[in-house]
Order: sequence, then C-alpha cells, then structure tokens
Amino acid sequence: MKSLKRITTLTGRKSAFPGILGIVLAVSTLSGCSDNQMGNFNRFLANKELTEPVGPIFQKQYTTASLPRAQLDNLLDMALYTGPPETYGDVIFRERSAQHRVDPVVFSHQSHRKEFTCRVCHIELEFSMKRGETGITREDYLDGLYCGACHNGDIAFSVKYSCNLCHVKIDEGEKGRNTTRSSSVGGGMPAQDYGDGINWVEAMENGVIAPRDTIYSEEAPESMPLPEHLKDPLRWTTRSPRTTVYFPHVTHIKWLDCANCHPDIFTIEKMGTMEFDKEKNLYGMFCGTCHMTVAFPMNGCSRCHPGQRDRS
Amino acid sequence: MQKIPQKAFCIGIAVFMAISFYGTEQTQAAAKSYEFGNVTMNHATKSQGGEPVIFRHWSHRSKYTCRLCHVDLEFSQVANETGVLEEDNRAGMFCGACHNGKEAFAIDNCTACHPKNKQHAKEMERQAKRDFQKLRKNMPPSVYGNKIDWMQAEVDGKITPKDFLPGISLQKTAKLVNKRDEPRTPALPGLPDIIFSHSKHVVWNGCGMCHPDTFALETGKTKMSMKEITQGKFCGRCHGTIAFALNDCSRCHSKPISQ
Repeated sequence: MKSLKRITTLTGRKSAFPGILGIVLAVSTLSGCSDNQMGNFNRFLANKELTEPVGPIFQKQYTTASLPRAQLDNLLDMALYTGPPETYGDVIFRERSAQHRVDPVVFSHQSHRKEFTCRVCHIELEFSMKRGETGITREDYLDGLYCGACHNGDIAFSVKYSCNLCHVKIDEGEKGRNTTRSSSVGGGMPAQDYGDGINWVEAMENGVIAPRDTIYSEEAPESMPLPEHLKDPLRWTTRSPRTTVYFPHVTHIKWLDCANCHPDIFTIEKMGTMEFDKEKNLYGMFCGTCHMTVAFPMNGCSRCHPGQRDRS
Repeated sequence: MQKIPQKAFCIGIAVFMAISFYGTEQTQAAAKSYEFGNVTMNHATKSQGGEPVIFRHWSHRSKYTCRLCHVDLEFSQVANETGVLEEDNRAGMFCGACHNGKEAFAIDNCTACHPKNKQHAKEMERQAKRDFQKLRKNMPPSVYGNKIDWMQAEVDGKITPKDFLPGISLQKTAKLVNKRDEPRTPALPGLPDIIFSHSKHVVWNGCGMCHPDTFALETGKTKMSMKEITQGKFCGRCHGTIAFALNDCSRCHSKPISQ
C-alpha cells in the first residue's frame, strides 16, 4: 500500500518527466528502493520544475548533490534496457495511430542507421529526439515530409501503398515491445555485449557500413572542419574519484551534426555545461539523450571510461 | 490475495517504463522549420484573456525587408518591448501600417491574427504549416532554420522584399550599396575565418539595424565571443531566432584555412 501511495503522489509530475518516472515507479514497486534515493528523485524533479529550460543550457542550474556510487549503480540497473538486442532502439509511435484507430508504427533505429547517419533524420528531416514532439501526420508524410522524404517508392518503399509494413500489430508481451521481429541487419557486423549487440562505430570504421550523410546530394554535406584542439579526444575528470572520461569528437561528427548537441545540450564553452554528471545522464540528459536509448547504453562502461570494465 | 493484483500492476508499470523511456527531457538543438522565427505576442492577451497572436516571420520576410518593420515601423527586436495596442494599429502604426485593407488585409479582420479559441488556434497552426510547405517547395533549400535559403531566394529573384512604404519610409534617391567584406579571425586555432558580407546584410537591413547600437562603426572595436552570440547578443540578435540559425556553422566560418 505504501508503494501505491507513492505512485499517486508522483503521477502528478508525470508530464514533467515521463520516462524516468516510469522507471522509478517500476523498479521501486518491483524491488523496493531506499527512501533516501526516492528523496533524491523528488528533489531533482522539484528543482527541475523551477528551472525549466528557457534557453541555452548554461542557464540551467540544478542544485542536487552528486549521488553516491552504490546508488548510481542501482539507478543504472533500473534504467538499462533488458529486452532482446534486435529491438534495442525501437520506437513505437502510438499516440496518433490510436486516435485514428490504426495499428501503431514500430520504428527500428537499427535498420535505419545502417543506411543513414543520425543527422539525416534528426537535422534534415526534423525528427525530434523527444517522444511525441515531431507530430507526424498522414498529410505530412504523403507530402514528402518526415518518413515520406525517403519512403516515396524511390529511395525506399512508398508510404502510399505499403501501410502494413510500418503500421503493425505489436505483441504486447511482458516488455510491451514487438518481440517477433528478427534483426534486419546482416552478418559481418562487429559485435558488442550490450545495447543492440552491434558496434556501429567499429562497423563504420571498418567500412562494413557506409551510411549516407545527407539526402539532398550524393556527396557529403559541406561542414565546418573540426577545430585543431577538438581533433584529439577530450579528457574529462569526474567528480568522484573514478577514471577519466574519454570523449572523441571525431567519432561523433561522423554520425551527428554540431547542431545536434551544441549549444542546446552542451554549451560551446569549455567547462561551461552546468551540472553535467552521471546521474543526469541516467535521467536521459546530456549524453543520455542518445546513449541509453539508441546509441550504445551505459553498461558499456569502457567505451567512455577506458579504465573501467564493462558491466555484464 | 493482495499480492497477485500488485504483481500485475508491476508488469503494467514495467510496460509503461519500457515505452516511456524514450521520453527524454531535453531541449532541441533545432526548432521546427515551420516554427522557426515565430513570435508569440501575448502581452495584451495575458491580462484580457484570449489566445495569443502568433506572428510568423517567414510569411512576412518573403514580402518585406527586416528594416521596414524594425526601423521604419519601430518594431523592437526584443520580446514585449514594442507594446502594440489596438488603438496604435487603428492609427496606422505597427501592424496597422500595412494591414489597412490596401497593402494587406484590414485589421477589422480580427480572427486572421487573433484566434477565436484554442481549437481555432490549432487550425491556424495547421494551415500555417501547409502554407509554409507550399512556400518552401519553390524556394532554394537550406539545412537549418526555416530550411529556406532566404539570401539565395532574394538573389535569384524568387522573392522581391519591399523596402519602402509610402508616407512612412524615407524617400531615397539612390540605393545603398556596401560591398566591403569584413574578415574576422576566430580566437580558436584551426577554425575557418569568418567572412562578414556587408552587401548581403544591406539588402535586408540597411545600416540602422546594426549601427551604432549593436556594432560600433570602427573596425575591430566591438569585442564579442561566440558564447555571447549564442546568448543572443551581437550576431545572435537575429541569427539564431530569425535569420539563418547559429547551428549553421559553415555559413559564417566559411573561409578555407590557408596552410
């Protein structure tokens, strides 16, 4: 009963932080979590409401203290994806579909990122990285926007005829995901133990895949060269005595545009991003914007903290 | 007996968790193209009720230069600073200067700008999106902002923005030409030099939009940094909200690095 009470007090904030709240609720009811941690969440959410983003991130100042390591471990366990690897990164578009009584769309990041880089959809085609924000309508995609930009019968199958290739009945199993679909990515991909099981960075480096970086032309898009001091990986110290973080700009700009991260998620100023810590990452901010949902998840510790072992 | 429904509930929560994990709380790097440059005018509707007016820069800048409204019609570039009132509009100031039934639809046509209710506001939004896509298809493309290369559109003659309103604008005998390019070297090594083109700015802005308030007239006297620009100062006054977006790095950092 106690846990139920907790839920009712928390659901009022559902709109402010739906994703994380879901996780917190789920795990707190399943395994029970300490009151201290719950208090931390509440404080974080309360602070967040006070200082909702009004502009660039350097104006954001959250005041929660850093979590102890044991609790971070706990949090990571809650947030990690546990389903089958081939459905990691799947997004189910169901809000509009439900309104119009059609089956929801299951979008597989895995099958798309083999062909296109992130920036093609998230910059050129204006897909939001936030759930429910893009607002795709039938009118839009028939007009060549969003999915319709490629799914026109020319680059990929047309949205006009093959409805049931995207609008599918989903198996509402234990995970609420489409678990029947098998991986559409062929063999020869470098493997990893977490996320969708494919090391995409290595795949691109080895030339196994060569995703297109723009749909407007055959050549690579014109882009500002990386400044000299950003060509080497950045090394960040951590707040608690752990190993340093290794951040390569070079790997990121192969997939992304400067604008995907700067200046809204990370400032362009050295050490200018406020309250950038692991806890916020796990809530889906900063690196967590991609690195818990689509890009490799954070149990691949050694990818960023070279001195640490991966979590099983 | 108590435990079974609770378990079912837990599974339900797990489902919710799995689905909702995609909802992250992050502001977007790029605004939507059809909403880029939109201004919500609500200083009167806040106190008097009703839906705010959404002013769309894209629909106006295809017909008029920036200078015409921001210099001749005294629209401020800062939110809530202009203070447009109905009586002003009726006296032929601000919106009323063009929205008089001759240049553009008359201000008696209230609901063309002021939505009747929430439903109407949504409809107007949808219609605006449609109109925008229609306009965009005939314009030279760009990757950021409105996804329209306005400068190129003007050069190609696809749009001919008006720079003169009879009775309001100053009658000039000659067209202003300034072909001087201002190269600037960024503080960081390895970044391409910035080329500031006067000739591209003068078409839209004349002189008074920038000088002497935002930029001093002497070369190199205005000290600015990219951080300040992202905060909406200097170039960021227009670039980032209305003119091509700040994330279009190579539009300004465009000079090839000489080795």
